[in-house]
Amino acid sequence: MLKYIFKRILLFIPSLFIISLFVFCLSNFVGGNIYEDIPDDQFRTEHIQRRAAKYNYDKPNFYLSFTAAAYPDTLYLVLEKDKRNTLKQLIAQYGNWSVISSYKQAVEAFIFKVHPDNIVDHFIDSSSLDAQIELYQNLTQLPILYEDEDISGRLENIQKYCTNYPKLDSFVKQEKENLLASYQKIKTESTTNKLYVPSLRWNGTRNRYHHWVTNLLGLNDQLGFKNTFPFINWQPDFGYSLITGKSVNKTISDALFWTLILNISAIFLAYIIAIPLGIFSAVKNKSRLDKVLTILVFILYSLPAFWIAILLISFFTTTEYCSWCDIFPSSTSFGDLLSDPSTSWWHYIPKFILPIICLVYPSLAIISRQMRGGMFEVLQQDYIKTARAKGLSERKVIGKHALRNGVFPIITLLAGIFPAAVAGSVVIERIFGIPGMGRLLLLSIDGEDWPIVYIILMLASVLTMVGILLADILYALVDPRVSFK
Amino acid sequence: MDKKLFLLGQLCLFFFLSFTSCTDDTKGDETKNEATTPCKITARIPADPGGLNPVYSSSGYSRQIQHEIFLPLIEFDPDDLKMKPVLVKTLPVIEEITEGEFKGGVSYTYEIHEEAVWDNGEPVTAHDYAFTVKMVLNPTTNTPGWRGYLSNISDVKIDPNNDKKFVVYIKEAYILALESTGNWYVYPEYHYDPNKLLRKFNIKDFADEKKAKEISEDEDMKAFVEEFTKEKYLVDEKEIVSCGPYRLEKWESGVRLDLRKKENWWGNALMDDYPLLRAYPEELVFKVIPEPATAVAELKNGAIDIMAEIPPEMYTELKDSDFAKDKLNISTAPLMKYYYIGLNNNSPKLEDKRVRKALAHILDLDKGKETLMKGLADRVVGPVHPLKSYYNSSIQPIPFDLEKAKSLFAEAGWKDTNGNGILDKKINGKLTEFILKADITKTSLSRDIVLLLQQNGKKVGIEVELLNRNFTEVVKDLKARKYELVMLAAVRSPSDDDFYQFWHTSSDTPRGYNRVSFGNATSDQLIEDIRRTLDPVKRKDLYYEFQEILQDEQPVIFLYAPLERLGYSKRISGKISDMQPGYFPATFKCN
Repeated sequence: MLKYIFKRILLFIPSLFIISLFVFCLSNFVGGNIYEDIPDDQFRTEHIQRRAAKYNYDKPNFYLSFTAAAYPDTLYLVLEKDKRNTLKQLIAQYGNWSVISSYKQAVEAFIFKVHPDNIVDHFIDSSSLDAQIELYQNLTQLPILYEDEDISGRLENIQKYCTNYPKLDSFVKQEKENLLASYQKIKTESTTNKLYVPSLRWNGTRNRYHHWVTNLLGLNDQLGFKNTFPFINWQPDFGYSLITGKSVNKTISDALFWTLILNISAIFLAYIIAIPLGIFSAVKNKSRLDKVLTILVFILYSLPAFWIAILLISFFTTTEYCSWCDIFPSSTSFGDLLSDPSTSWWHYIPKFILPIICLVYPSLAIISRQMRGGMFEVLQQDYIKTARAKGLSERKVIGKHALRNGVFPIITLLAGIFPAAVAGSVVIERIFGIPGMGRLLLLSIDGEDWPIVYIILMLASVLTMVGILLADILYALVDPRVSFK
Repeated sequence: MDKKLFLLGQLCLFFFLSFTSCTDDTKGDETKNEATTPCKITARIPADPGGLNPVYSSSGYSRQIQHEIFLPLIEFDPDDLKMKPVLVKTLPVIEEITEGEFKGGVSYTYEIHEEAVWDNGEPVTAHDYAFTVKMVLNPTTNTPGWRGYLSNISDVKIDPNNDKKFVVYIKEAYILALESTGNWYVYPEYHYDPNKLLRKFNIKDFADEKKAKEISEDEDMKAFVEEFTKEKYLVDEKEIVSCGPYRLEKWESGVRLDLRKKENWWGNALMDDYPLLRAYPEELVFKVIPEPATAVAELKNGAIDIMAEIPPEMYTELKDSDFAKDKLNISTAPLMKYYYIGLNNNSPKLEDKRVRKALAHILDLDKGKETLMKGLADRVVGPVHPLKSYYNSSIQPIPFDLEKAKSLFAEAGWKDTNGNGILDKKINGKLTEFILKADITKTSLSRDIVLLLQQNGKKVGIEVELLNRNFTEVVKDLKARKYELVMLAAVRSPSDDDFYQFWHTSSDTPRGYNRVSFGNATSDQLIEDIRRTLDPVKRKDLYYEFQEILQDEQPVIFLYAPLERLGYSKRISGKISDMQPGYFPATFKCN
């Protein structure tokens, strides 16, 4: 048994590795731009570099990169995502990185030359100035355009302004010619065949994934290889939120607290209520009470929790509809207790009644049905008949002989409890103003706050695996016929 | 946190060991709350502020809380939107500099209140001011938002005989220079830089890119930045300190923030003469309640005293309810924000201003105000807020007039030549039909406006196609100017308008905010002149002219300024404000 558990735990390692890879890859496909909010000023480039370095965006993504040979291995150094994607698109069309890169430089040089801050005195008439402005407006779009139609349109405009305003033309002649020639070159010297040649590169440990994983394991450079027993001095570094700058550790532990309180209570209550209900239904099968109960739990199951939650709040926390209607404490009052040092844990219970009701009632149907099914099947078995024939009391027959085997489907459900306990309900948390994990995950995905999303997903996967393992162990404990040998 | 862990442990124990019934003693709780006499006002915020280090935390809700903890030198009065002194005795003495190192610039002389002290009893001095300027200007502190604002400051000279008195030098005249010298929070040097590491640097040197870089590589500066950017200054109650009336007593992340008025706060004595030092309640509580329906229920049952951002439909319901009438004051305040339809002025279909005007004529915005906005909005004709002294009131909104629209399209050369019911025109030799692609934001208003445009457009022979795209996709195309029509909103401030960011052509870059590609040399010149003209009378003429240009060019279609919808308990009294967020809880009193 112990050997089996040990083996299973060992299996966690490759599973977690694959999950971490998967999460990491996904974020790379959908990941937002962490430089969005950095305004234009003379330090912009350095800001971007610093920010990129802080979140390891100035490194390749993984140990290996597997791309077409047309792509340079230094593309990650173009830190701004818009521009990098444009370059990728251009390469995907034409395949010749060296001419694309000289086109990129030509664009940058041209933009610099006609920047409104560099307005030059020899354009005295205002129409030439207007032309310079139009030229600039057209040029600044080029670094993020990649479709030939778009680029050619801009280039045509640029030529138009230059021919109409000879003064302007002579001022930018060299930059203009460079630009036109380099774009022409992209088209004429395209090497699309390179796009079909695969290329595998080794990036070494200097990559974003490596940094992320080693920090996660508390194996960062200071501790790393100097300390022979890193886990004794375990200091996992989950990184920092991209939005608030707060550490992920603190953000998640704050949210986890509320979710655990709510979910532990709700799950416990749901089982405490639903299991007896299920047993009762199975024993009194097809009685009128069984039918009533079945209908009742299914009606509850079909009522949307968010709607019930809003109704409960609107009707039962204010005196608007009747003078005795405010029987429940206001939905945010649990927070009041936190700032009052004289409160104890039992003060919290009434404050959480409403959200717990909303979490418990929809799950009653599933649990009680599972229990009823399992129990019903067992009650048909011969050994139950034997037990009854032996003259055992009905209580003993059901409680001792039938329950042990009837509880199997509940154990299966149990495997899902651990991830469910930390997952949190987005809707209930929002309505009751509870800052739990559901809300945190939703906000983080919406705000593209990947460091938080990674950790929540990893946490959920670890707990799912633990849940499944526990369920397997419980099977063996409940039923001696299950063996791991 | 310890208490929380302890609670959690106990809760688990409770459930797994002894599931016994528990009596409800909430009633005892409530009487305890009622028994407390000090004035406590509870407000609702829809999201947690995240962090409270002002240079890093700029979300609307963190500002609302920082407002009660930190103080600037000067600030806009929420009652009349006029700039008034806060930490200083009077508004600064402003002088143009005619000679010396800052010739052509302007100097601002401030004097901080003698009474003003930090929490440790030390006086607030010019050294704190200079410290804040250096902290912000240092490039590695990463405070781009603030640095853009403060980089106008060339130098600060402290009076050798009185360290509460100092002169701020601005190199170039600029309309927002007054704001940039004083309308931001002063940090206490003793707390954020106890070893006075920044004293050795000169403010003057930060203007020089090379010297600024050298400073940022200095060991002392590095040590300071390392300390200053620590998480504790963002979230730790004990580390968020300043000289304002309130102290952050407890912050339960995502749940609530408790602020308590400091005992014997230095500003109490000055409150009568300085309206911006008003701080009446002993306690301020900000509860985080994301769901508006819950917040409204909490307002009704008294768990919160004041809230803004009531959704329009709930607002009308509250307004009509007898229950709310007895308990609540419900009102609106104009918001410093407006909605508009952004038109891509570079697009071949929209580059003619007659076409843009024709589009404005086909929207019945007066009717839409009642149907779409439930009457909770005002029409706007330009970016200038009507309360500003330089608002050009001669500009009339463009009326709903389909005939006029038709004739404008015809003038611009759009006719239905192929008889398919849609106007067309030869552009670059290609017959182009007038079909516009419209992008919308998440709000229902933006969809409704586009649908209105679509409906009325059919009557004049144009087609509007509603694109349902993810807004991040839309932003990508906005940056590349690959769009035709998009619904947007802009936020205004009580400061004098500087149109550079939204209307100057040098902001017409992928990262810039002139996303409609408006502008020519004349409008650019006007924008620059407005920035540099300090004489309000002369500037008013320029402002008038600019508003007329916008009206004539119609680069965007201006729609509505929404009204803020507020409710507050009759238990408290105070004034609501035109400034965001519509109320300032410290200025309210308990009845």
